[in-house]
Amino acid sequence: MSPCTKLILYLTATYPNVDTFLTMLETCSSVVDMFEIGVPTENPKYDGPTVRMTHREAQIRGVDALKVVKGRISKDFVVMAYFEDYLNNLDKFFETSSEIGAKSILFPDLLFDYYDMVNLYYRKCLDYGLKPCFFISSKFPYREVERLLKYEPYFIYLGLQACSGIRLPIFIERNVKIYKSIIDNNCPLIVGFAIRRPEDVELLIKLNVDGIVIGSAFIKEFITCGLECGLKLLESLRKVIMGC
Amino acid sequence: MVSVPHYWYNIAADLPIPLPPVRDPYEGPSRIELLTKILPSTLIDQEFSGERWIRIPDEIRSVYERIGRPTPFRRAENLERYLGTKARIYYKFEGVLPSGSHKLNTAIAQAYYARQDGAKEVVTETSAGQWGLAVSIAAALLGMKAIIFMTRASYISKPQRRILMQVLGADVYPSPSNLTEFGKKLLEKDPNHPGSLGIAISESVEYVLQKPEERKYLPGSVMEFVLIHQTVIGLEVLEQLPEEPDYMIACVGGGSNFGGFTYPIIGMKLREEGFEKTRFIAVESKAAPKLTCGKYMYDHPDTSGILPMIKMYTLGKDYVPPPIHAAGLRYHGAAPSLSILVKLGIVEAVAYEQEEVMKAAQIFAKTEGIIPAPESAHAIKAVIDIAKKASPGTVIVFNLSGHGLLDTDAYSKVLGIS
Repeated sequence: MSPCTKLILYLTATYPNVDTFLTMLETCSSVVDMFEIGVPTENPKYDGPTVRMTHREAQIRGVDALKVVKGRISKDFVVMAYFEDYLNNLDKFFETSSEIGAKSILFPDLLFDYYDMVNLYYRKCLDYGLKPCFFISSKFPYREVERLLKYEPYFIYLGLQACSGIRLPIFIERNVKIYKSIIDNNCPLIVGFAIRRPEDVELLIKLNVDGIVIGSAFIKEFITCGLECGLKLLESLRKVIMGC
Repeated sequence: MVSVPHYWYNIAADLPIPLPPVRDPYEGPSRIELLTKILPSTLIDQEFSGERWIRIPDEIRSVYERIGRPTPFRRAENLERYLGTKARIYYKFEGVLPSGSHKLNTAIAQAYYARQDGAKEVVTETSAGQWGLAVSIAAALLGMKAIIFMTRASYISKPQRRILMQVLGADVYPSPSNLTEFGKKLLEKDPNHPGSLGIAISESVEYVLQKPEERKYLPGSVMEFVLIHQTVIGLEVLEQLPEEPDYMIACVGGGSNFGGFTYPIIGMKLREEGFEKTRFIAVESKAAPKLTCGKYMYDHPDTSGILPMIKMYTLGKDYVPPPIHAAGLRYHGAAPSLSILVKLGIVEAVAYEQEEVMKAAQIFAKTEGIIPAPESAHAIKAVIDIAKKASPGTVIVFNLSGHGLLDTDAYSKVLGIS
């Protein structure tokens, strides 16, 4: 039975070091459907404390950290980076992402801080054989979501919380329904931020999301008792996803 | 017949560009995580809600009716005659509410949600006292205790609203105070520190954190849920408008009065459902000119940086208006949604000196028989300026957000009436 919702794992490239990061990728490949690889930066501005820590402690910063994954990921993956960091060398960044085999580049700050550069982003995606994808917040303007669909994105990523890894009392069911309804199956909707329990995943599956991203929860398990615990978390969520 | 709306309006759904997310600073613990400890949970949800229309609970609607909603909508014919203008001037009057200003609309909603979370006390800051009085009334109506940190300068110079807050059962403290570590530090440096709204916010938050299970913090402006609650004003206006306005004008402190009054109409314009010709004018004080002179950037809404950063027009979190300023609208920043609308040119901003503002207030008082709050008088000044130059038939609508019956000090100080 093929999963109807993708389980996606976020990892910051080269955290805590190159070897362990590559081991994480290899080990978790058997459990997840896709990876989101964060490019370590000095300023992970829209991330929560756990992901920020991984950026600070990654062995390599910037685009060089991405190069280590070339040929090492057996599943589909997208690159996550802040547009702000690559304003002056977009071509090099897109070229590297394309060379290592990424399907797309997710810039969480693109629509918030560089809204007038969406067309440029789209053109670069086309130039380098990548598909566009977009990050939106839980209070994103409806018409602008409709506009994004015209780019035929690989997916739209809805941040369920104010930032990664922090759970606020937000009625996520309502927000997912709103954006699911606007997207109307015209592109996959994947969701992330502060998802950690099987019941979170069960709820999201009922809402027919197309992908669920796990990030901070995995990293916290890894910090607490190693890769084995992180893997157990993923397996517990995988069971829920396989059961849908 | 005009009735109290059943829903609030959330302009985030209709903005031409998205609202930038709240953000933690680079250093220190997560301020975003802190929100769960200080704010009522439903307010956090509303802050991050994608819903265009948010249902107003029946109990809040019922309290809105008890306090006098819908508020009146009038034509200022005497003012028109005095100015010799052929423009038609209308105003919504929030000063009839028991607090004397629009602030009560969100105070009731916020106290209701705090009580829903089991809180016994609601805590907030105030400067001139309008917000503190509104929270005190809301707490009294909903059977709660209000704790108010009032900027020390206002605590001393404006005893009227302080006394009324105390009559309503609130505990009012001059800020900086000895109740918080932040306040103590400031008092050590300067025992006569005049305080500021930002400092009072910081003290309120720290005070709530001392007993988060019993206390909730209620912010008076800037947060998007505050603007959402205030949209009862604009939604009523939509039913009361006799004709489509050329101008809608309101004053801006943090933006809740302006947003509440205009957003339902701006929303219709953005959705191309009408109001194509309407211009929206935000009027601020030259003593705190964030929209006309501020920078659009991430900044803390409070001086001590306890709260998460929001992207807005700001003068910097440490900004303190000149001591001579007496006409309100002192806050350093403007709500993120309003900041976006100004940045995109959908809302135009102007700033005035307090002397010209208070003269305009006097003209309105003499012609319409209502003493406006100094804050609201900023809008009146803009109305007068526009009406004088307007072509015949121009329609101007403004929000008279509060009365000035307790602002004799500002009138006395600025107009020199002893």
